[in-house]
Amino acid sequence: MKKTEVCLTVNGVTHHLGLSPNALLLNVLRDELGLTGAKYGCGTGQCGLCTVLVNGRAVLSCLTLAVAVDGADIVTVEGLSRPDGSLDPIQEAFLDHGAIQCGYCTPAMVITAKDLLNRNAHPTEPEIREQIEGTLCRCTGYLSIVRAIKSCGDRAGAPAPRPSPMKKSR
Amino acid sequence: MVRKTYSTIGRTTRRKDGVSKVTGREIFASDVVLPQMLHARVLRSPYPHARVVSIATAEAEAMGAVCLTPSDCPAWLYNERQVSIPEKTYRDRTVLPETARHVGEGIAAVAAKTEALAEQALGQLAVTYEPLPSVFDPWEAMAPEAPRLYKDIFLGDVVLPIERNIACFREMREGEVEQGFRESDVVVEQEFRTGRVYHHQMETKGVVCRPEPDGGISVWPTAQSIHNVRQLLGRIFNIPLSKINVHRIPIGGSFGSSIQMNTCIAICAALALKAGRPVRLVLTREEDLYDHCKYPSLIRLKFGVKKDGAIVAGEMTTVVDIGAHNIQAYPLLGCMAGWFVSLYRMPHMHFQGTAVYTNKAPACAMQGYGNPQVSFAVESLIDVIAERLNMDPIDVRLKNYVGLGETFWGQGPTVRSVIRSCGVEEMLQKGKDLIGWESRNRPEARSGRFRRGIGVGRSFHTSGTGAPMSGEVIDYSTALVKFNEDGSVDCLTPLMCHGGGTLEALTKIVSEETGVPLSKVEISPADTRSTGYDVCTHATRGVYCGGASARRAAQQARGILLQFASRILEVNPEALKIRPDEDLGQGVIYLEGAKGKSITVGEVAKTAQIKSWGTAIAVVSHRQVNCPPCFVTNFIEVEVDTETGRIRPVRAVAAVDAGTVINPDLAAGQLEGGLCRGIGLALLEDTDYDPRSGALTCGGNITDCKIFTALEMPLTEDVATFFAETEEPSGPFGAKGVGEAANNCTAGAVANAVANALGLRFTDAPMLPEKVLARWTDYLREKRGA
Amino acid sequence: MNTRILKAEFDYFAPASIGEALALIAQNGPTARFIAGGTDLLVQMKLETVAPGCLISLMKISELSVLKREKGFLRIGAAVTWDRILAFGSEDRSYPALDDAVRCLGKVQVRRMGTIGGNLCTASPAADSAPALLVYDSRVRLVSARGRRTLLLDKYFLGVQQTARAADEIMTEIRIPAPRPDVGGAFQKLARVGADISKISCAVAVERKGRVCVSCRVAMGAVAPVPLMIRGVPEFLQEKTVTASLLVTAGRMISDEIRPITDVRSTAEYRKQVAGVLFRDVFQKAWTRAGGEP
Repeated sequence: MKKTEVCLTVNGVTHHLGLSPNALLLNVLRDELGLTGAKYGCGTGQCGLCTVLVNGRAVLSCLTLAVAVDGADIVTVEGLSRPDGSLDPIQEAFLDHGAIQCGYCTPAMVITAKDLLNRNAHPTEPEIREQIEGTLCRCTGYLSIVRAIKSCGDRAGAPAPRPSPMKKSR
Repeated sequence: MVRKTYSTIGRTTRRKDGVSKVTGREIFASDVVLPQMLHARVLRSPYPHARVVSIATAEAEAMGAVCLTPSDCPAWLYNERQVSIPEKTYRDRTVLPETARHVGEGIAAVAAKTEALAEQALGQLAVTYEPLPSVFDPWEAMAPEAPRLYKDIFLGDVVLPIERNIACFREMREGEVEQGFRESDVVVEQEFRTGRVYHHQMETKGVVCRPEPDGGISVWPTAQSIHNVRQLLGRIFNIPLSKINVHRIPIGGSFGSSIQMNTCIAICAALALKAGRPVRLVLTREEDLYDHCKYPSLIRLKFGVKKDGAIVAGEMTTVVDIGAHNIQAYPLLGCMAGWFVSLYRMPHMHFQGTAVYTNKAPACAMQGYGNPQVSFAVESLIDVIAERLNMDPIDVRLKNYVGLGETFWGQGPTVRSVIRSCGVEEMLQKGKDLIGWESRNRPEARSGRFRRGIGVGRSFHTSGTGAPMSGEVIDYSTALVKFNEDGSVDCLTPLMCHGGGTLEALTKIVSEETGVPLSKVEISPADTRSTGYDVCTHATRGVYCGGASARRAAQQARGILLQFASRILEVNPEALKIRPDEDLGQGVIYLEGAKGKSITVGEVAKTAQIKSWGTAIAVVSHRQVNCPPCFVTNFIEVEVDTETGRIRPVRAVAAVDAGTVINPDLAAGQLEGGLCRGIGLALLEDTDYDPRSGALTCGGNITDCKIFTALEMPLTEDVATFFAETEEPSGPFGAKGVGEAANNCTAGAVANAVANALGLRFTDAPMLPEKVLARWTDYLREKRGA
Repeated sequence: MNTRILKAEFDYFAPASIGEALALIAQNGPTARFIAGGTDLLVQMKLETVAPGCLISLMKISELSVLKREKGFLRIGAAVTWDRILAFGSEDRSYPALDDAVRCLGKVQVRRMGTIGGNLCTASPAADSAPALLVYDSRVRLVSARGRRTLLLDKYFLGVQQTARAADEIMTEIRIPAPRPDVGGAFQKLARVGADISKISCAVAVERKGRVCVSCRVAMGAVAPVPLMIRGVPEFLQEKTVTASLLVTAGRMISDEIRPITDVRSTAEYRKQVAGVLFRDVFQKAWTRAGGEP
């Protein structure tokens, strides 16, 4: 199959790649560039584990043709931490709120959260839940992830306390 | 009770693998790349039951693909799960079968330079099938004229004929159940069902295999036990275990889906050995959906009780549709009996379980191993008893629960131990306050479209499968602990972490025991050549059993270190203690009350090295002789939309009696995750088959088979988790398990909440809106008619 | 089938003008397909239900990404993504039924990728945008080498994934007439979980005067081979004082009118059973939005 040159700037580094039209962005990132943070989970756009930022917007890389994003600026989870190794606040929040279990959805969750926080510095819980509804996690039940994202908006340095005793009845 | 205080145990800390997970640098099996690696694809049967007459590979081979067909594979029958003792292991499958017994069963495989090429080569394999009659319903399968999946299989080394597709049958009795029912004032009986739930672990199963120049093989699998993978590969391919190295690699969720050596591992190993090159085989989601599922259940349950609520007799009959292979149905039935008898005391009991083959994807363990199914039935029927006797459901539970000093079946009839820690009452009382149980109305008091109800469910899970005597199931762990020359500590164990914090807990246990700060204790990478045997991270045994072995290794290594220190300090080693000094980043060895008599762990280890005294190192293989229950309790409030049948969980309290809690945030995370999966079992999850094609109705895609999203969970402020204040005398620093227990009681609590909301009880999960609305409409019609 | 890769090979073009795109579809024969966001077509290709030999992307054609009010219409270019429509809607607020639909038709990632034209070209009976656009009396504009034409959306859907659009025709834009004052709209769906395909969906646009329904339009998704305009109820409700019992009757009429099937997502019986209550919920929301007390 004819290969075309595709230019992708990934985490600040520009790559010129010869790619077939049927190359999916997810596989290019993983197989050509060795960035395995974005994961295959279903391939049909249902689980969100392949989420990356394309020109600042969270998209599904398993349903994105690499040729279609020629010239785009792409950020994967590997690009969130700074060159000195220091982490993005959302990554710190995931660490502080026990929002990580097996870790397989974590890169996508972090990117999905980043997309929200870029637009909305103080999201409400419903906004957070709506944002991550398309990124599936089988381990956590989502609550710790929601708390982590919320804490970034709250700009709380310290971990939020565990759930406070609820209202007694309604 | 007053809890012991620890320096590390029970502290919330950042998990050590957190940074690599949150930065995308964690390498899972599906991320492994090796030089010269080929990519494999498996050809899967489109028929639910068919003999593979021939497979022509010439065209695929002409494309440069390495092809694997049944004739390339060893004929030895295996069972992918290696936890039971050999004579209780049912062996019915080969690496590639000559007869496909479910849609999606792998019958041939190819490996090529790229995945695209492998996919093309797969399309070139020409297969001739002879379709055979198939059967999908377990009752039909037991009929004498039904199509047979097997003529015979092996049980251990003995040929076992299979009659009427019955894979195995177990029956247990204690007391005289008929007499028990006669002595009862009230007898209640109902039938319960749970769905054929897909594990839906986010990483599909996968493996990379590299053949080694010495004739051996190295393997990076999604697996819960690297040693069982090694043993099976050794047996199937006749390779000495000393030449098989299975590496532990993080797993993207398991929930039981990799308790066995998954079939893709054997296929990939065969391909790698044939190709003479590394091969990666990672299942697509649609393949994974056809690979395994939870054991569905059909349970008939009967209780006889006295007027005061005391249970006199219990009888459970279950039929389990295991699909096309008997992976672990025999221990499952034993465990189901065990879960049944260990929830509530019953002087007279009878259990009967039948496991039946059908032409569907095989069922295997999934979080709770029969316990969510059994607890759904038992907890529902306990509420029915409360209704019949006009008692508070909590009082019925308090009156009958199996607790302190009583015998508990941790893993079927041969794994029994005495309960020595119990937080059942504490959790019921505290949970009751948190949810507002006292204001819980009766269903008759409710009206309107949206009706809320509160339900309670309790359960437990075993912590491991240890017992005083060895039974039908193998259980021990091995760990190595050593002090490094700078005062840091390595812990080496083949134990697996599925994400819940098992290895995190081990670092805390080792830190606590050695006195070395947590920042200087690390878990070493592990493989089968450098570690002793560990049975598997299953049965909620990681912390209780694996942690106990690490603690013992740490104790022994510490003893050696103190010997060295005693030579330097000129103090009897028995008198020395170690405390962590976070500022120094060292453990400090000291003699209490004696100034000057102290030295860091690092100085001692370094001195011992320079003076050639040796390394303070110990390796321990340890079996726990108990399997204490970790009790759980859920209180759940649901809202039922009586016009659409939709049930929404709105508030929940989840509690566990895990003994000493080692990782508080991760343990709470286990409770929340279990809650979500348990609600999924109750309200959403199942996999249906089209009886005409034998294919999944969802087509193998998760588009119509998704798990709950973040939108379906109650708000964070409406979920509370807490831990009972107990300590398990036999556990490492008082710890028991959490893992599987977390979802065991949830479906029962949801069913009870729905019954409280509507006055109508659902006994068949999942309670889909379609089902709820149809039943509710009938119920209203009957009520109006009456 | 392998959802990890696109097995089939194809040519790919991303023309900058409609003229170029039309020339490419003519040159590349019957297996050429237009592609927009790709969230549906690439899935179909992975599942091997379609196998185009050539993909012509419409995402680089500036004419197709217009989004503005003009002469009594809102013009939405066919290649406008959902998140742009949502952002526009949160300022504009003229078409709340459409905003509701966009908010629940897919997860945030799909809203960033998927386009309104793509959704209408796929023409799933369960497409969430369709009922909302139908109740606003939308039109679609199509262009081919044979010329341009405008179709009422109501006449556009022909069957399951069948539309009046010819394979060599490009949908250029959707035009939604400016709503009359006092019109309220709403959309809701029932699905298994969040970000899921609808079991059933409903959109309502209602013009009210006090307690009287001056006129209304109702459309439903996943109840027929096409997104369905409901015929009987608007006539029944016209110029009537709205009461709870009137809506119950209207809901029953809807249950009778729809022709749902049983599929993997739900049953025909359930869809019929909940159609009425879904309609009442959506009508109430639209009614409240149209002003005044509920």
